[in-house]
Amino acid sequence: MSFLRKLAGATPPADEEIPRAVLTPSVSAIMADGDMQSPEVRMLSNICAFSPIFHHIEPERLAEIVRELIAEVMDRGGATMLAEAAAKLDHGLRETAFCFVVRLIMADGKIGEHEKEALKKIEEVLGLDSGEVAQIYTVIAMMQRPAH
Amino acid sequence: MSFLDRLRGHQPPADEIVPRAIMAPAVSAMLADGVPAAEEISQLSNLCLFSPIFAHLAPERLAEMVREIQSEIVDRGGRTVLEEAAATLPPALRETAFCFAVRIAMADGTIPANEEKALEVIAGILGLSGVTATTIYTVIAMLQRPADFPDMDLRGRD
Repeated sequence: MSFLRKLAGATPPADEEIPRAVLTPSVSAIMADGDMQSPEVRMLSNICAFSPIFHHIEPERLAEIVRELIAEVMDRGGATMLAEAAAKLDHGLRETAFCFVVRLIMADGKIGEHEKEALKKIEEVLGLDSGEVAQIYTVIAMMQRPAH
Repeated sequence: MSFLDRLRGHQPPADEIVPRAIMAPAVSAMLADGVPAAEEISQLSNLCLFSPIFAHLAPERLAEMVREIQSEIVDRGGRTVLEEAAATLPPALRETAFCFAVRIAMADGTIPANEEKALEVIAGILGLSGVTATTIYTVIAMLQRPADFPDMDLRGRD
């Protein structure tokens, strides 16, 4: 939802509410390290293409939603957006949202200091316990292992 | 590597040996559900784009490799191809390969019984412990969770 649409009082379509909430932590994490670049937008859209949560959304619309969330995080701040997203998701989908964040952040095989801090905050807002978080890191790290 | 290439004694290029071994379990899991659709092949090659193991390979080559492995499994049998893949990979990359297989099997958010059985066989051939396999199932189930099936949680299975 663009800034202008928000000013005009527009709310996202009902079938986009959960997808947007699942995406918000990822957008927020990447923006912790500066502005989101288009390769990251592409990567995030690619991750979403695998998830049943986004199957009803066209790829072009998905990229648009990511850009709208970037604008919203810039306008309203990551903390507010994260808290709203967490409130919309049940525990299972909060885990899913966190998996997306870790997958995105670890795409290059490493986690920077800013990203570590952002992940810690997101984990807290999403209310995940340390056991779940450790499992998520373990398996995403397995997925991102290099050949050597 | 096509069937004819293999008959002629052709080996895959050295930089494709590990990528092919990583892909083999995922292709095998796809075949448990019948001949994979073009969409499934594209899904697997798309998934590989995220992994540093496949970073040196063009997307078109990835899709081609999926089809080649599929032919190998049909020609030589899944178990043989999987055992060769397991022998090629160190234990850590066997875990990576299993992650890919589970991800592909759960792509639509559900896991049919025949694919579940195939995954059990694959985990056995890759020599994964029950704990490791369960952790992988648990997290991949989180990644693939649909919006309206909050109880698709495989924790506790073993």
